[in-house]
Amino acid sequence: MASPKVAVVGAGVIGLSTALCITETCPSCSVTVLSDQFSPNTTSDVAAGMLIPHTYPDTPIHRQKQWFKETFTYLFAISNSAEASEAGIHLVSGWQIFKSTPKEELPFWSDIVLGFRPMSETELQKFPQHRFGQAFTTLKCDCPPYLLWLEKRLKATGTQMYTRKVADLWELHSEYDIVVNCTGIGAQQLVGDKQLFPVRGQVLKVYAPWVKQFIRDGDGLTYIYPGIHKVTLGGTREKGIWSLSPDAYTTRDIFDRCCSLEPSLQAAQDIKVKVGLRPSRQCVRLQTEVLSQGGVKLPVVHNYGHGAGGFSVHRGTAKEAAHLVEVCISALQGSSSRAKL
Amino acid sequence: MRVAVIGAGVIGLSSALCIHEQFHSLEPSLELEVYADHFTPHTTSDGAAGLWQPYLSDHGNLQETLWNKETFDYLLGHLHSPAAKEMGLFLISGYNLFTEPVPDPSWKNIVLGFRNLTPKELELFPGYSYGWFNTALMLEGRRYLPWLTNRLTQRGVKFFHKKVESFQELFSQGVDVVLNCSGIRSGDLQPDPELQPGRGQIIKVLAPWVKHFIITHNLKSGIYNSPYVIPGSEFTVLGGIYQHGNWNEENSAKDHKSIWDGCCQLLPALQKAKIVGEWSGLRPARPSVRLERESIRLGNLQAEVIHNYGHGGFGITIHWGCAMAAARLLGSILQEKRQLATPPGSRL
Repeated sequence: MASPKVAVVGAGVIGLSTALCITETCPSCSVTVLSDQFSPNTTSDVAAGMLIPHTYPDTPIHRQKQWFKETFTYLFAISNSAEASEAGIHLVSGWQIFKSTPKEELPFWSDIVLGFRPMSETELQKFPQHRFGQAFTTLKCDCPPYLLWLEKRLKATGTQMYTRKVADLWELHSEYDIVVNCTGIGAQQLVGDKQLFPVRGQVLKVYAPWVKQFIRDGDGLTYIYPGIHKVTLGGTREKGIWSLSPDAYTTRDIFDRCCSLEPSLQAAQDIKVKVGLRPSRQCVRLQTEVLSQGGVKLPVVHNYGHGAGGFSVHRGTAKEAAHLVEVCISALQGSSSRAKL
Repeated sequence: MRVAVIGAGVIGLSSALCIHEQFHSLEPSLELEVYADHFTPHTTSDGAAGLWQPYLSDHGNLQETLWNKETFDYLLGHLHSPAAKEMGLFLISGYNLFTEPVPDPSWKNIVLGFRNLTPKELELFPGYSYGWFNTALMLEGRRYLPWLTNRLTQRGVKFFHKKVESFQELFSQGVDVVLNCSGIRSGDLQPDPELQPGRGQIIKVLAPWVKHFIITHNLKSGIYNSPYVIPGSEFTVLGGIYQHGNWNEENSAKDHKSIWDGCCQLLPALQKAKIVGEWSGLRPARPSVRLERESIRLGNLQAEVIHNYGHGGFGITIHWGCAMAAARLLGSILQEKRQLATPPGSRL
């Protein structure tokens, strides 16, 4: 197999970063990205892209930590380079605050982000309803810039990208040797994964350039994340809700909650409302499955179900998926050389 | 009781506001006037980035450290007020970088969350081996000065656009007390060899991805003579020039290159930033702030001047503490005048 043909389905942060990792680990591969949506219309474009991990209940912590560390290290280097602004990667400092002291005062990622420490009494005075807090510096991936930058890097490697709605992974078996499934919430329909469910998130993107610090309530529901041009105000976590239509009552509620943490947001301008469906699962599905029909095999590497933590672990899971693709290629080359005997 | 403030930078306007807030109800005859040849956006304060940060060392000047603290606490208290955005006031975190370990500054417990930098953070800044991280405040002159002007106008304070040539000029018009907040040009009103320009130059760029201030320090070249990057609400300020004794307010190409090269080395992504302006200004530098009363004899009258100038590169940082101190000095002047006005015998 001189040039394995790999199709990556999905062009959100997971699809694009996985495709890029595959071109890095397997330069002889011909990689094609297929997706019905590209930036700025993916779920990733709605997200703020903050590197603050979500904890997956069924994934061992050391594995999640490894994914986060790889992702943080990768983005840290970009943020420090001349490409930072084009890639949309920047450092941001701020606070995570809790109304009651959390069980775990030191999350697993506290030694990966920068300067993690508890908030001082004086800092907490700013938030009379909150009793405990953590201060740290982390990274933010602004979308669309980050996705567009990934697309640019992919094009430079010769990767083709096509708008195409894949209704069934098997339809790709004649054109491609390996399929990588990065369809996020789309996997529910595409592969019938009943363990995958949406967690609807509504956010506001507002113009408030004086907001330089992030503030996040530890409950994950209220947050203020300053991006390059707009500040993302959030949010909601509505389990099992599929609606992509903004809800006006929710908009008002998000705005009020954020203003109670940062009153100056009352002066925010150009408020836009966005909705995304976090592709949630008890654990990320990162595994190989070999589809088989009439003696023909199609290896599929799944990489979806990142829920609220896609940006935080994207590079780590992309590398693991690329490794799984490598294994598939070896297996295919092994069986093809056997076939030649 | 006519009080005239000379100067409409951050010192003049804030002193005027502080005085009006404290005395307008106690002294019904108080008439407050502001005289200046430059108003916002053409004052020295308008050019400053607006970061609250004193110099590294207070040189034992505890008074100034207290004024700095008063200012920080005052501003922190206003952070949640509806006026904050209009004032140009917001929180910002950032880095102070050194090539060797240095003692902690006098203001470490004034700012929020002061700590040393971790090794991983220092990786961001090759060439620097030591540093601090803290959360401080920005108070943008281009917003704060109009805000102060609005508050003063609402209170009936009158503004006069003219260059005052001498204190006498105002006293002969019937002014009782003069507040001298004339910054770098105080020497024109009364010679002061200790007041010298600390010339600065800045480049304004669009770099909205920068969310932290970064101030480098070169202990040999002195304060603000080493690159710094300070993100504001509309643009980011690149700087790193401090030339003692240089009165030139023209932008220098050599300084431009020095600032640009230094800041791009610090943050490579700045190479892609669009330049939207450049400005030079003269920090009114003095070994210590001149904040004191001076009685001037004019014929058989005693006229009072309160000096409040010489705030160097920390005017915004120290302004409110000084305004309060100036108000206290005016208070004692008012007290003395009342005692003189009370006929003897009536106190029995």
